[in-house]
Amino acid sequence: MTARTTRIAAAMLALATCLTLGGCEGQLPAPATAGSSGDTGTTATAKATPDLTEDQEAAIRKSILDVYDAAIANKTTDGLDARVTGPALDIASSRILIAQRNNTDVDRLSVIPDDIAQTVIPTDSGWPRDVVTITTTTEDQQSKRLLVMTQTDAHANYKLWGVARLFSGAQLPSFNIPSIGAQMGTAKDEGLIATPEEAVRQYADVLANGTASQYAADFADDQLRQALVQETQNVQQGIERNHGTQQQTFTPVDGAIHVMRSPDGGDLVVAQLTHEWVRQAGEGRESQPASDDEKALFGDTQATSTLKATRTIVVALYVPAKDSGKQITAVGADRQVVKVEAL
Amino acid sequence: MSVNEQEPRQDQANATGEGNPSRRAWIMRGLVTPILGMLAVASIVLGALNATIWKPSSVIDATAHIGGTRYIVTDPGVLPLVDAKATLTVKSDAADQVCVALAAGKDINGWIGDDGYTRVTGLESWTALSTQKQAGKSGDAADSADGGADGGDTGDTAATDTAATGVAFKDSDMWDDVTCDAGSVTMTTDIAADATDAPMAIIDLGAEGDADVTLHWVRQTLPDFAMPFYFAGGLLAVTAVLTASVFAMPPHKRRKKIKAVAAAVGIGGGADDEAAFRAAARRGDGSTDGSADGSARADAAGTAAGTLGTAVGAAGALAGAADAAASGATAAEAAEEVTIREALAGTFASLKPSFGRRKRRRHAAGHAPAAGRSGAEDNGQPTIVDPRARNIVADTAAAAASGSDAASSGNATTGREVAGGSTGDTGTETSVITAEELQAYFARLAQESAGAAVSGSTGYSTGLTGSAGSDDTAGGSEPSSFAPAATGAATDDGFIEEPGSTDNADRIVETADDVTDTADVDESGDISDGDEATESSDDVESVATDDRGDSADEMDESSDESDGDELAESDEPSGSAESDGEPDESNGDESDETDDVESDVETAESDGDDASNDDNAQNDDEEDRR
Repeated sequence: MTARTTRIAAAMLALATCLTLGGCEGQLPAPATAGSSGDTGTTATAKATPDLTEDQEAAIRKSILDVYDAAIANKTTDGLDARVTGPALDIASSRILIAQRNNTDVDRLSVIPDDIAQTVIPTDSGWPRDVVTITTTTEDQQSKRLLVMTQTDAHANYKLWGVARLFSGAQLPSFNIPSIGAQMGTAKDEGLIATPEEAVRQYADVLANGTASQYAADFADDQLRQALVQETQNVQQGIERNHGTQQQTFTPVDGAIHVMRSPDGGDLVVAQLTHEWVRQAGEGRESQPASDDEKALFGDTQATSTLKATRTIVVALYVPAKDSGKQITAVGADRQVVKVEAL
Repeated sequence: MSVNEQEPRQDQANATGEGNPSRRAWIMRGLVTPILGMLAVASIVLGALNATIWKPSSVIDATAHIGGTRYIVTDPGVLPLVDAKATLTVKSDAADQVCVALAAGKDINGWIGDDGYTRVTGLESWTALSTQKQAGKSGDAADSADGGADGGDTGDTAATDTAATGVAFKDSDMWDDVTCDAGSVTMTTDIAADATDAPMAIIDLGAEGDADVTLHWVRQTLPDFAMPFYFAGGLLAVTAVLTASVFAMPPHKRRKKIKAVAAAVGIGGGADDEAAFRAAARRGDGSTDGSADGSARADAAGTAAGTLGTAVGAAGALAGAADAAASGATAAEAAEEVTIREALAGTFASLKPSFGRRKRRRHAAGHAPAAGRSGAEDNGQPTIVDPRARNIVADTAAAAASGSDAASSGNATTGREVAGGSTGDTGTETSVITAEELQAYFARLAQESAGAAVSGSTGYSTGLTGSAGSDDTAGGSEPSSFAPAATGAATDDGFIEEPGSTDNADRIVETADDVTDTADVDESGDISDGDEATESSDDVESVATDDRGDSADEMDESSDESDGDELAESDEPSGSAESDGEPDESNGDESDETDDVESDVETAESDGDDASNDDNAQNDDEEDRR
C-alpha cells in the first residue's frame, strides 16, 4: 500500500513537473507603452509627433488640388467648397466667374503647382490644424505659391484656406522639417514685434495710408504695397479728371488668420484682408469698373456715380521676434476682386 | 607492535579499504550520483520535448469578443506586440460596414470624441486578447466647445459636434490606412515595435454591436526552452560523473594517492619494485592502526616504532623516508576503491616532471639518498640499534618459528619500515624534541644497550638488512636473505657501480665492529645524527669529532630542505599514533602530511635520479677516511 502510494506520488510529481516545465509558449509580452490618456482613453504619446506624415500631406494636397484643378479647368465652382474654403474659395470662385463671364480661361494666377518645395506640419494635437506648404514655381515661371490647408475638426478633412504668391526675393523664416514638426501659433502670440493679430491690423493701416501710416516704420516695403500704390495712383488720375474721389479701406477679417511659429522666434502669419475701394465720380458722371475683372463682375449692373469694388487679399507676413531688430515683412500675397457693385 | 600483530591489522585494513566502500563513497555513488543521473536524463528529455512536441508555436492567434460598442481601439504597442507584422481581423454581425483604420493616437482620440469605445490592451493569454471598456462622456461637454483660435482642447468636442455632418470614417484624411467592408474586414500591419509614433488601430463597427477581433502574428524568433535543459543536463551529467569518481573519495586521500603513485612511478621503473612496494605497504598497513586509506608515512612510522620499539636514529630514518612514502602510498593504493584513481595518479605523475618545482625538489631530494644510505649504515651501528634489539630478537625468534622465508621477508620489510619510521626522527628544526634531548635520549639508549649490543648481532643483521632493504627501495633488490640483501642493497644503492662499492660492504662490516662508520651518518648530511653518535660512546664521539669536518663538508651536499622534510617526519611516530587514535585530526595534519609525502616522494625520486652522484661523493669520503 505504501509502495503504491509512493508510486502514485512519484507519478503525480513527474506529471506536475512535465506540465510545469513543458509546453510553455514563453512569457506573455506586454505593450511597450502602456497606459492611456485617461478620459478619452486613447494613449497620449510622450513625444509630440507631427500631425501628418509627408505622405499624408501629399495625399491631402493631391485631394485638394484634384478638386481645385477640376474646378478651374471646368470653370465651375461646384464641389469646390469640399476642399477649398476661406479666401481661397472666394478668390477661386471669383476667377472662375470672371472666366465664365469673359469666356476665357481662368486667370493663370490660379495655377497651383503640384510639386512642393517645403511643407510645414505642426505637431499640435487639437483642432483646427494647419499645414503650410510652399510649392515650386509654375510652368510659366510664376512665383511660388504658399498654401495654407486647414482642418477645422477631426471629422472634417483638410481644405485649402489660402494661397499667397510669394514675392520675388522674399525670405521666409525657417521651419523644422516635417519629420520633426512645427508648432502652430495663435493670433495673440507674444514676444513679437506685434502680435499676429495686431501685425495684420497695422499692415492694413500701412496699406491704407502708405508711408503716412504710424506703423510704416515697422514694416518693410513689399510688392503688394507697391502694386497698390501704383494702382491707386492710376485710378487717382482718372478720378481727378472727373473731379471725383476715392476711398480705400483695408480690414482684417476676424478669425481669418493662421499662424505658424518659427524656431527663430518669429511667426509666419497668413491673414485675410478685405479691401474695399469706393470710387465716386464727380459732376454727375458714372463711376465705371476700373479693370476687366471688375467689368466681368459688375456685368450689366446699372452704373451710378459711386462704385464699390471689394477685394479679398491674402497676405503672408513674417513677424519677427521683438528683439530681433527686424521689420515685419510681407513675403507673399494674393488679391482678387470678388465683388463690384454700384452704390 | 609486533609482527604478529600486524597481520590482523592488515586484514582489517584490507577489509576496510578494499572490501567495503567508505561512507563518503557510498553516499556519492549510491545516492548522489543516481539522483544527478536521473536529473540529467530528465533535463535532456525535457529539452528534447521542448525542442519538438513542446516547441512554442510560431503562430499566435488571439481573439476577443467585444460587444456593446461602436469603436474599438488597440492600445499603442499592441499591434506589434508579438511581431512587427500582424493581421487584424474583425467580424461583426451588424449589417453596417465595418472599417479598420490605422492612425496616431491623437487622431483617433479626436475622431472618437466623447463616444464610448473598447480598448484592446494586450494579451490576456496566448489565445485571448485583453480588453477594457471605456464609457463615453456626457453630452454636456460637447456643449462647452467654443471653437476658439487656440484650438487644442476644443477639438474633441468639436469633433463630436460635427460627427453627424463630418466626412465618413473611411474618407478621413487622418488615417494612415483604412479598410472597410461589410461584415468582416482584415488589415495587415507592419509596425516596428520600437517606433515612437507607432500607429494604433481603430475599428468602426458603424453602430453599436458585437464583433470578434482577432490578432494574428507569426513569431520570427521563438523562445528556446530546449537549450537551458540541455545545458543543465550536461552539467548534471558531468557532476554525476565527478561524484561517482573524484568526489567519492576524500580530497586528502586523493592527493596522497596521487603523490604516492607519482612517487612509485618515478622511482620504481620495474615490476619487481612495484611488487616490493606493495608487499611493504601491506606489511606496513598490517602493523599499524592506520585507517584503511593508509596514511603513508604515518603507517610506516608507526610500524617502525612498533617493530623495533625505539627510534633507530635520524640518519637511518632518512633512508626509509621514500620507502615509507612509497609503501604508504602503495597501501593506500591497495585500499583504493576506485580504479580511476590510478589513472588520475598516473596522469599527475606524468605531468609532475613538468612542474616548476621539480628542479628544486630534485636538488633538495638529492641528499636524501645520502641520508638513506647513512641511515642504512646507521642501522648497522650497534649502539643505536640496541634498544630495539630486544624487540628484534623477539621478532626474530617469532619469525624463526614461523619460517625463515617469512622472517626474511618480514625483516626486510621491517628494515624498510624502520628506515621509514625513523626518517621522521632525523629532523630537528621543527621537532618538539630538542637536539639536546634527542642526544640525551640516544646516549641513554647507548648506555642501556652496552651489553646487549653484541648479543643482538642477529638483530643487527636484521637491522642492516632492513636498512639495505630500504636502499632497495631505490635499487629494487629483493630481500631474499639478510646478508646478500645487505650487499645487494649496497649494490642496488649504486655503490657497486663505483669503486667504493666494496668499501661499502666493508664499511658495513666495520659498522658492526666499530662505530667509526657512524661518521657516514654524518656524511649523510645530518649533523644531529653525528652529534647523537658522538654521545653514544667515546669511540663514536672521537670518530664523530674527527668526522665532524666531513660532516661539515657534507653539509654542502646535504640539503637543509631535505633535513627539514625529514624533520617533519620526525614526529611521524606520534603523528601516526594521532592518526590512529584521532582520525579526525588527520585532516588538520593533512597539509603537513602532504608535504611530507611530497618530500618522501622526492627523496625517492632523488634516490633514483641522483643516486650515482651522491654515491660517488660518499665513496670518495670513505676512501679518504681509509
